[in-house]
Formats: sequence, C-alpha cells, structure tokens
Amino acid sequence: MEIKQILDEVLPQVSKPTRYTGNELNSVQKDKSKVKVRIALAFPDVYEVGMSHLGLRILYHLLNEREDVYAERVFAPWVDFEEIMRERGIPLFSLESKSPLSEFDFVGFSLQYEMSYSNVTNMLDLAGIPLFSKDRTDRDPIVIAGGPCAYNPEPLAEIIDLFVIGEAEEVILELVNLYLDHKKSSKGRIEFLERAARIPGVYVPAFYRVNYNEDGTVKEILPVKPGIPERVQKRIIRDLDRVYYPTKLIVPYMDIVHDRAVLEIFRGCTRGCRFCQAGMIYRPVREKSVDKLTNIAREMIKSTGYEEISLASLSTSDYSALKQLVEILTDEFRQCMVGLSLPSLRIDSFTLDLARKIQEIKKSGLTFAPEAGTQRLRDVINKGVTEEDLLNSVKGAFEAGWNTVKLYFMIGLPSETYEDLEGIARLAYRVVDAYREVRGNTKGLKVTVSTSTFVPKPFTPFQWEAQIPLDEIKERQRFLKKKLKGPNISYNWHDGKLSFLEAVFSRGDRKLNSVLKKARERGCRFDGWSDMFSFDKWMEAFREAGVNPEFYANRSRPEDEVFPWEVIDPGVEKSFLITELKKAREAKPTPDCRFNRCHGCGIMKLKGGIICDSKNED
Amino acid sequence: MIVRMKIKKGEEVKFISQLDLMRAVERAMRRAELPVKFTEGFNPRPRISFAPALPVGITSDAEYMDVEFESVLPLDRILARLNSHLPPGISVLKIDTAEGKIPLSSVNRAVYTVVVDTGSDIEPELLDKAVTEMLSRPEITVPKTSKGKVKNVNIAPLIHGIKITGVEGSRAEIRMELSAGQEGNVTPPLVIKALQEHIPSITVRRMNRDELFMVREGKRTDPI
Ligand code: SF4
Repeated sequence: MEIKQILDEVLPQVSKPTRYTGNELNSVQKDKSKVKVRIALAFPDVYEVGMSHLGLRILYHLLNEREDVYAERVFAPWVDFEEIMRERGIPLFSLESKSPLSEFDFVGFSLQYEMSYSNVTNMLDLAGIPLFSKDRTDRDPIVIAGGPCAYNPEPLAEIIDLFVIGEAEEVILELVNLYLDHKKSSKGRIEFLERAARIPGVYVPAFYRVNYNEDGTVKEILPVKPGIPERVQKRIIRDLDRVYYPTKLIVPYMDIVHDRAVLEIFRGCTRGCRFCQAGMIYRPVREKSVDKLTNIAREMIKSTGYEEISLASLSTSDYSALKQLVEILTDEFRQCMVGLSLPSLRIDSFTLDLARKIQEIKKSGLTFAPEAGTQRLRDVINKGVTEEDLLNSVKGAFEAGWNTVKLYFMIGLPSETYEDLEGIARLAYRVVDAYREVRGNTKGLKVTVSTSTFVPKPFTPFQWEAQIPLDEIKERQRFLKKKLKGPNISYNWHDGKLSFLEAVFSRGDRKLNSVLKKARERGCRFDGWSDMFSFDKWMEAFREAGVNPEFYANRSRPEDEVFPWEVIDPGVEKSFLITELKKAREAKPTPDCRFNRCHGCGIMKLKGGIICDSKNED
Repeated sequence: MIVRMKIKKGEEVKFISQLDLMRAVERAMRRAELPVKFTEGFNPRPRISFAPALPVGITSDAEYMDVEFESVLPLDRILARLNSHLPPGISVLKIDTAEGKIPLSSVNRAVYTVVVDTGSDIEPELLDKAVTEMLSRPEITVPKTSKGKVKNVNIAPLIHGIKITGVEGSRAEIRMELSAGQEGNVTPPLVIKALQEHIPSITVRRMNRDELFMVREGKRTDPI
C-alpha cells in the first residue's frame, strides 16, 4: 500500500494529524520524477517546533527556486504516531510527496540544540538509513547537517556524512552543483564526499583521524588524505541585502510555536557576553537595509496573509535604524491589521518608547535577562547591564501600565557564590519595591524568576570552564526556591539533568557517537520534552559505552588543551577567547566594540562586518 | 455588511480543525485584500462566525461562515477574490448576504455520505438488513469519549435516516441524516461503531458532510 493510503487509515487515531499531512499554502509541489536532486530537510523535533525555525524555511524555499531540485520537509513523528509507524512498517516519509527518506539524494538535519541528537538517530532508524556513515552504501542518501551545533560536530562525526559550517545559503547550492556534476561519473559516495570536502565550509569527518592522549583528551585531529583542509572555516554571507530571502513562506494550518512572518533584520552580535555561543559564532554583524526589509515585509504579507510580523535577530535593539523601521512598518500595516512584534528587545528608555508604540509586549509581559544577580558576576560574564539600568527600565514600564515582568538568570556561572544567588532574590524583591513605589501597592504585579543552568559552549571564552556538578545544581535551585517565596514572585527552573547532558554533548568528542547509538536502542528521544526525558536510560547508555559523562561536563580545561571542535574555524580567534577568559577571571568587562574600539576578535579576516569596517577604516 | 458563505473542505485539509480553517480563511481574506471588520478592544479579532464544528477527518461541502466586512462589496467579487487566494482544498461554493437568514447557531441537521469497507464482497441485502435491524432497536447505545471520559450514549433519537446508496465489491456508500449542533450531535464514526455490532468487519473509508440545515416542526430551512 502507498504511504498516502495508509495515512488516511491511521491518521484519525493520532494526536494532531496535521503534523503529517502537508498541503499547506505555499508548500511546494513538484513532479519528483522530473527533478535531478531530491533533498529532505529534516528537523529533529515535531512539526510545530521545526516549522517555527527560520533557517529551515529559508533553505526550503531557496532550494525549491531551482527547477532541478526538489526540497521536501520531514519532522520527528510524535511518539503515538511513531508507534503506529513501527507497527505498520511505515518508513519515515517526506511531507510533500510522502516518499520514504531512503529515496532521497540528501537528508539534511538542522542541529539547533544538543538534546535533539536522539531524535536525529531515531529519525535515521525510522527511515531505515544505517546509523553510522561507514555502513551506508551508494543506495543510501548522503546525510548532512548544519546549524549552531555543527560548530562542534564531533559527537555526531560517525553518524553525519557531511557538515555544513556557518551560513548555508551559498554552500548548499555549491553542494548541489557538485552532486549534479558527480552524478555524471560512475563514482560512488566516497568520491563525492572527497570532492565535497574541498568546498570551503564543508567538513567530512570520515577524512579526519583523531588521536587521543592517555588521559582521554584529544592530542590531534589530522586530515587523512591530501587536499583535505586542516581546519574548516565557517561560511558567511557578506551582503545580506543581496542574499536570497523567501517571501512566499509556507503558512501552516495548525498552531505552531512561532506562527508569523519573520523578518530577519541582521546577523551577528558584538556585545560579547562571555557565555554566549551565538554571540561569537555568528559574527560579524551584517544588516539588511530598511528599504530591503520594507519590501520583503510587504511581499511577505501579500503572499501569506499573516497577521503578525516579527523582527528576528540576536538583539533587536542593536539594529541601527530600528526606530525608522518600526515606524515604517507600523504605518504600512496598521490598515490591514497586521501587528509587529519585537522579540529579544533589550528594554531601556528608548526601546520602552517603541514597545509602547507597538503595544505588542503588553500582552506577553516584559522580559529582562540580567543573567546574574550581582554586578561582580555580571562583569565576569560581560553582561553590560547595571542594576540601576534595570530598575529604571522596570519603573518606566510600570509607569506605562505593565504589571508582568519576567527575569532570566543563569546559575552555576564560573565563580558564582551564594552571595550571587542571594543577589538574584534581592533583585527580584527590588523589582517588587519599584512597583510599590510607582503604584502605591503590589496589586496585579507578577514577577517570574527563571533560571537555567550555565552550559559551557565551544568557541566562547568559557569553553575552558567546568559546569557545576549535578547535586550542586540541585542545591542552588533549592536555595533559590527558599529565597523566592512571596505573593508576587514565582520561581521556575530548568531540569539540571538536561543541562548536564547538554554540557556533555556540547563539548563532546567522537566517543559520544556510540553513546548516541546505545541511547537510541534504549528508546531515548524527545529529551527536550520533560515527559519523554529519561535520565536513567541515558546513564545506562554511557555506562554501556564505557564513557564517563562528567569528563566532558564537569572538568575545567587547561589553556593548552586541544579541543575536539578545533577542526572548525569560526573566525573568532582562540587567542581572543583566552584574553576574554582572563579578563573574566579578574571580573573585567570588555565594552561592546560597537561603541568602543575594536578588540581584535579575529573575525575581520572574514570581511563584510559593518562594525568591523567602521572601526578599522584607517 | 455581513456575508454568509458556504465553504468546501476537501481531502487536502480534512484533518485541520475548525480553528485552523478559520485562521486559513482569515489569512486568505488578507491576501485577497478584502476588508474584514475587526472587534474593538485590546486584542482585535476578525468578525467571523461559524456553523457547528465538523470533527477532524471528515471532508465537507457544507461549512458555513458569516463574515462582517468594513464596507459594502459586490458579492461576486468577494467570491472570486477569495477563491483565488484560498489554499488548496478550501473554496467558497456559494455566497449571499446573511440578512434575513437563519442564524448559523440554529442549524441542527446534517447529511453525510460515508464510504465503508467490509473486508469482503458485500451482499446488498445483508447490509440493508443490518441497517434495518439496527434502526429498529429502541436504544442504540455506543461508548462516546468526551473530555477524556467514556460515556454510553443512546444515539437512536439523533438518527433521522440511513440509506445504502451504492455497493461495489467490498465497498458500500451510505447516506446518513443525523442531528448536528447544540441540541444534539452525532457523527458518522459513532453510527458506524453501532453498525459494527451487526457487521463487525465494517470500517470507514471516507466521510463527507453534504448538507447542513435547520429542521423546525418538520420544515427544512437552509442557511443560504
Ligand atoms: S573584529 Fe573588532 S570590530 Fe569586528 S567584531 Fe571583532 S572586536 Fe568587534
């Protein structure tokens, strides 16, 4: 029976069947027999999460612009449907043509967070594609992956055939062209991968050998063939005004996490928070012009009918013409009832004004991310915000009528003490005081404090630091639970076990591939969903693979250690990261290079950064 | 101006919920640049109202919707513009002003066509007999899940007619007239569940809502 027919029969029994039906407005239908290259864009989470991801949507439409390519989507089936698939022998299939994944030339995974790796392995299993690269034959698809987690590709190095490092818009087309050319020859996948490894930004782990020291750390990572680069430099798009951007976006039927027209306003960030990987790997800062953005927005609304436009970037307030852009967009779309939303907006007196204008944030409450509870610790992590800034903004917001405030912090930051944790509670109470000062009482006020646990990430100044042990995470959460009690304050925290595993995989090496295999065999998947996450199964997988997770999560590294991810070159230099680490240890901030001098992070060599250019004119 | 529309929900979209359908129509209006009126206040919503919801998994030729517009527009223009902007599987079949018509909330009757499969070739007489037998029972109780709880309900008073309209091989086409809406609601899957007591192997292949209307004192009134 064809997959389409079986679906008709089984979908009425599953929750949210629209996850699997496709057919949305602006989804692409092509004759699969008439194209030369078929690509399955795979997102290792459910439809409503995957469809909210901008990168996937860009690549989907970019690839489908080409007549000779058909890109289709596939998401992780939720567990109820997975059970039926396994029972009925339904292989993982694409949404558009309902074809089994094994039919495709490429299967490309988007790696947004480490805890989706178990979904990657489970999806390969459901597709009937061998888990390890070495076991695949010429009949199997080439399995590729990209996204922020690809900056440390090693935990998946034996599973993924080929990683794309950095921004993919150009390199994905180069890969397609190479594939078309390669198909003319009678050579197989190994030869293709060898040619692909010469494309800048492409990492093919099979062509690198890792040698280890006796203590288990990496000694060296060496290319095993001539012509394979020693390090793979990330790719960036220099001119964002000229890069392809889709306007005929797919409009899902079901409610997805972010269901709106997304307008990417710039890439990169110069603030230099020392824990933040995005802030380092997405440099340099490049903007789209107001003109370009206005045109895109207009087109997008015309072809989607969305009721909301959202500005996307790492830090919306840093867009150099934000005020102008917001004014133009609100004027243009007021008539047809299209709202504007500005997520990741740093609230200060200027942006508060904007927020008031668009009224958007009122619905969801204001969000602040001081990240740490004391000025000392904020200086350590280089979060350039003071308590006074924060309280002034909060007061301004209360005066303007807001009464819901969310405060985000991290616990377990390097050098954190109980005094810093006290500081979190103190700050929360000062927000309550500020409200009382403005309104005379605390009626209607809601302050939510959220803490996540610090996870040291590759290519940040804290990549040398340890994560605090699991029982210490719990202890600090208990401490805050006790401190944060009050009628207007609520406290919630992230599961420490999940942060621990995240810390293992974010700085893991190739030995973790076998752990992933064991975890899959035990049925680990959807780890990010608390009702699915089983820490015990993971610990069994580590034991059986003979791998000690604490070695990765809880060990602080000497400055001269060779890291598994050093085969990747993100542009930002290790020497800069070390300088930043040392300054962190002295609690010395490094001001944003946007308003200061250039600190020589190393990204200049990639060219195209607007801040870098203006700072280094002479 | 309030406009009533009769809408088709095809195979491509049979699994989307009524809320999804409403959103799809709302977005199509924006693409078609048709000026829908919005509610006042903090969180403005388009003024659109629907007839009783159709369970997911069923296609329909009789979804009804009232839409209020900012200004008076020619009906044929609304129909044409909307149809050229609706996603695949959704279309407007008929359009008229809502004035002088019954309120959508008052519909209480629906007609469905259900294609079933019995696994082996069907003797038309046997199927007829099974249906007659079922309908002659004083009570037809079936387990119904609502809000996570299973309850036995008697659907006999909600069935207003069942007719076999075609048989081919193992498949049969059945036409059902059933209660719908707030006064009492039953849908084809439940009726088939009851029929399974007489023909255990029977399964549903396709369901379509053909008509939706109001019956009062034996008199039928259509929404449009
Ligand atoms: S090269 Fe200099 S100006 Fe450019 S991002 Fe790095 S520190 Fe800032």
